[in-house]
Formats: sequence, C-alpha cells, structure tokens
Amino acid sequence: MSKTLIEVKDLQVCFRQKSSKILSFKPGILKAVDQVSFTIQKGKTFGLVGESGSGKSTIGKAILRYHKPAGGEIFYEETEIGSMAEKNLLPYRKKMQSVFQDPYSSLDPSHTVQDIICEPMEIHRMYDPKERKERARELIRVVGLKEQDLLKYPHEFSGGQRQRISIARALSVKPEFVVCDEPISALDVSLQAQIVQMLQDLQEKYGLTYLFISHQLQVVQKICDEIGVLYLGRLMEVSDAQKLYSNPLHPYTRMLISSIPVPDPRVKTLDQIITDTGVQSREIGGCCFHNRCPWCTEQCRQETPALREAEPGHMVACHKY
Amino acid sequence: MEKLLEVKDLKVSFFTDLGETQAVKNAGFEIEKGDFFGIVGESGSGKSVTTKSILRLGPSNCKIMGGEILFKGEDILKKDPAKLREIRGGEIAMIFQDSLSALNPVYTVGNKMVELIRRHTGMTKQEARNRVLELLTAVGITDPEKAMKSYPHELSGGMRQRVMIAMAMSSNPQILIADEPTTALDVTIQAQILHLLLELQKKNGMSIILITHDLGVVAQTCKRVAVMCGGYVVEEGSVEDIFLKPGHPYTQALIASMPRVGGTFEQFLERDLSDSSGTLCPFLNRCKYAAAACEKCLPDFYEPEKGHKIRCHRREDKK
Repeated sequence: MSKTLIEVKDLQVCFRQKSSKILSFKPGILKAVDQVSFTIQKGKTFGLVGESGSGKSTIGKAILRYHKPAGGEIFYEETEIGSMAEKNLLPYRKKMQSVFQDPYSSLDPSHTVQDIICEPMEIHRMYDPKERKERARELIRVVGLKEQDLLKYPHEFSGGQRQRISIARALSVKPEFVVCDEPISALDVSLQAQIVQMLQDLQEKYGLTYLFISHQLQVVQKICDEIGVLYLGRLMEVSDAQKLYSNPLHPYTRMLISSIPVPDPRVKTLDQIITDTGVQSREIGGCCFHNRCPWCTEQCRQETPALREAEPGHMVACHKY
Repeated sequence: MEKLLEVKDLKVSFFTDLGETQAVKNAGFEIEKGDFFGIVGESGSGKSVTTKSILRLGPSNCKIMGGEILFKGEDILKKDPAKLREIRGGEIAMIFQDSLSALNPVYTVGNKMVELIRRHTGMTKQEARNRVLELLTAVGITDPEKAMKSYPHELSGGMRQRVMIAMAMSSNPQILIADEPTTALDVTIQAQILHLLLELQKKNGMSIILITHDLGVVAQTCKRVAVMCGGYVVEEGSVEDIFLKPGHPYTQALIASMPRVGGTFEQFLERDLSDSSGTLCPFLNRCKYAAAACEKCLPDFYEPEKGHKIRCHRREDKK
C-alpha cells in the first residue's frame, strides 16, 4: 500500500485585486483557488490540467508555500505546512523543489551552471564546498550534460539544455517532492519527449513524487498516475490517468479532450466542438461551468456541485452524476 | 487551378559577427488559389524565415541569397519598396504567434485598425470605423464597440488573436500567412481560432499559409503540407500523403514523435544542432536509413505520385 506524501484539503488561495471602481478603497478579492482537495501518493505523479487562469500554477506554488493559503490545509506526510510559520519551513523547502516553465528566466544569467546547481546546497548547508562541486559534477551527468558545461553561463545553452540544468538544480538537495510547473511547454516537440523520459527515469532512480502541471493533456496523460482537471480554481474531475481519457465524465474534461487536434486528416474534429461560445466567468453563480456546458439545467445555475465519487477512484463535480 | 504564389529555390542567410549562417538552403513550393497550405518543422528548420521572406520582413542582417518568389507571376524580390508596401498587408497579410508584441501597446485596437484601413483604402474616418466594427464582428468578437476601445493588454490571448485576424482581413488579402497563430493559446481557444480561419477561408476564397510545429493542427486544417528540415523542404504533398504515406524518414520520425491521446511516445526525435554545410541531406546525422549514397550528395526530389515530392535517396529500395 502506498503512502500519502501530500494531502491538500479544501485549499483556498486569494489574491487582492484592484477594485474596478475608481476611488474605491476596498480591494477586490480574487479567489484563484477554491475548495481544492486531493492527495498525492509517494512515488507517484499527480497531474493538474486546465486552461490559463484555472489556478493550476497557484496550487503548485501554494504547496511549496510561495503563496500563503487563505484557507484549507496542506499536509506533508503528517505535518500541516499550509499555515506553518515561515521560520519553521526551511526543512520542508529542502524536501520540496520546483522546475519552472520558462528556462530562460528561471536561471540567473550572471551565475555559472556550477553556481546555480550549488546554491541550493549552500542555502541548506549541505556538504562542504568540495563535496558540493563533486555533487554538481555528478548531477550534470545525470541530466545528460557534460562536466565542462559546469563552467558555462546559461545563455550558452538551448532551451532544452537549460531545462536540464533546472532539473539538476532541483535535485541537488535530494528532494522527495518536485513541482514541475509546465516544464516542457516552452520546448520544441522533439525535445518534449526527451525531457519527459528523463523526468520518468529520475523518478524511478530517486523515488521522487511529482506534481506535474501542464495545459497539454496529451503530455500529462503519458506521465501521470492521477490527474485533476481544474476550471476557474475548482477541481472538476479527479481520476486515474487512463480512465480520464477513456471515460471522461465532466463536460469540461470532454470539451478539453475533444479540442485537441487529432493528427489524422481522416478524422475531422474541428467542426464538432464549436458549440462552446461561453466565456470563462467567475461571477456566475451555481456551477462555474454552466454557461459553457451543453448539459446545463436549472439546478446547475443555482447550486454549486461538490466533488464526489461517481465510480471507484473517479471523482467528478457535476450534478449529472 | 490558378497558381497564386510560387517560391522557387529560395535561399536566405543571416550575417552575424561569426559569419554567414544559412537559415534557408533550398525552399520551394506553390500555392494555388483557395489553398490551405501548411509548413511544418522543428524550430530552426527555417519555416518562419521562409514565410517572412515572402513579405521581405526579415531582420536587417537577413539577406535573401537566391531564388524567386513569384506572386501572380511577378517576382516580389525585384519590387521596389513602394510596390512592396502595397502587397504587404494588402494582397498578402500576415498574423503572428505572439499577439501581444505584434499589436502596438499605446494605441487602442480601434485606433490602430482605422489607421490601417485608411492607409490602404483612403476611406473616411467614419467609413473606416464601420468597416472595423464589421470586421471585428466577422471574427467572432461579441462586443466589437468595447473591443475597439480596448488596449491590447486588456484583451485575452484569444481575443487578441481575433483582432490580429480582423486586421489582416481588413484588406481582403488573397493570401494570409499565419505564423504559429495558436501556439500560445489554450486548446479550446485554439480550436475556435482554427475554425475561424477555416470559415474565413471558405467565405473569402483566400489562400492560407499556416506555419506550425503541431501536426494535429495541420491534419485538421490543411489541404497540402510542406515539411521543412534544416533549411530544406524535404517533403511536400497533400495532407493525406504526408500523414498516411510519409516518404521521408524525417516526416516519419516527426509523426512518430507526436504526443497523442491514448498513445505513447513511439519514438524520440533527437535534436541535431550540428551545422551541416548544406551540401548533404539535412537529416543525415539522425537518419536510421543513412547509406553511402547519402554521404555523397544532396538528394533530389522524386515524385511517387503526382503532387507528392520527397527529397530522399531511398527511393529504389522502397519499391
């Protein structure tokens, strides 16, 4: 039986927003993430998908405590870290690392690769300087680069190579949990497969647990064990990866899957999906998807559906189930 | 069918401090009236440079070294700047991937579009305004009045791309070049934009050149496709030819490396960053079929069927 590493319960993250009214001093509150609950098993990969603005990155950052949650709880193994004081967080920051989307802005241009990889170890006071360099040499080989690359600067590398450096940096402090926030979205198709394969190999080698955030469903399906579909900060569906694609329940998930262009000229899918004319809107009551939903009923306009189990291991937030 | 645009043996180079880099070594294709033509390839394959050269929009250190670009029988490369300006944004329009940086941030959408229309047609302000409203409605913007008063940063990515398309459509172009128009968008919005392009094309009878690295997008929209690799067009054919009977090993590898719903990555396509001199097949270093003949000279095109051209030495043993 696998152990739960991360558990998120009713997570809520809010941002202050400028009020749309001029001369109003009351700041608006934007609920970026609302009532989100899921668990990640040790050694597994949990995927979060959704359109831009759905709050998928915000959840990742909340778990890493880059954002302080406005409500709800986040458990790392048995410890609640969602409301933990900043000064007690350091040991957890070591166990949780991240790889970001943009390999161009996430590496300090004035540092050599060696400095970049060693810095987290210095912060966490791991090893002595000599051992750190030794470890940097080892890590750079693990991610498929050469030892002489350690003395180069980030601008000398291509996007895919930079992403490898980011991964090496994340692994330097021996984390247990890595948040991969769109790690391959900025890369060329031919490189995406390589980075995904590498992430999977590393997971096996070091027993890592991933939270994998992406808007590309095709990719998420490959590497995730479980997937959560987000829409406007709420989870619409959580399911085993294979089941989500073979039997999507929520109308939003169906819409996402059918929007992916099929690489086969004999199957024309574009004509079928244009029923969707609604716009994302946080203001509407009831189910937040009802204005785009083909199955919308009166109940959907009134009540917000809760996430509940429709079949074993398959949760969905829809009144239809 | 009428031949609208013909690119012949195009060669484009960039000049930097380190010397000359050949970005496009030999690109050629023909576009007919009403065509939906796709150009695919990895980044660095020269697909964007090729299409930018059609409008001579390359950066200042980019020089067209050879070849011809015939638009309605006349060579664009020989036109003087005034003539070129009439074609640019007039008969041939272009939309770009990054809609935020392609729109001027200090003008409202309406302001910019009115200016554009008046520049090309000489309409009065009021006439141009009405035309803008008409265009914005045609690209599916529900509140065109409001969109006209907005600055680019106030619109969402999908909306901005619609505005770009409306701007490009303002002169009723005969050719629309779309350079990765949906790469930065969510899948649902991508589907809407592609659908819009298909509809506009049917309604106005224009030709579209779509540049993308997403083979799914190509399969869903294009009629004919050119595959580019290392500055060469390596295969050209109908969309069915390319997907169902890919002849060039590069095309085969590209199709196999696509992430697919319900499938697995069947094969990786390794990147090749080594700069070949341009006298050999650009896929040579990565090709699993590479043979002695491949290391001697650049292969020529052969046509297994009419309209399906493949640049590969491997023709005999395939039969």
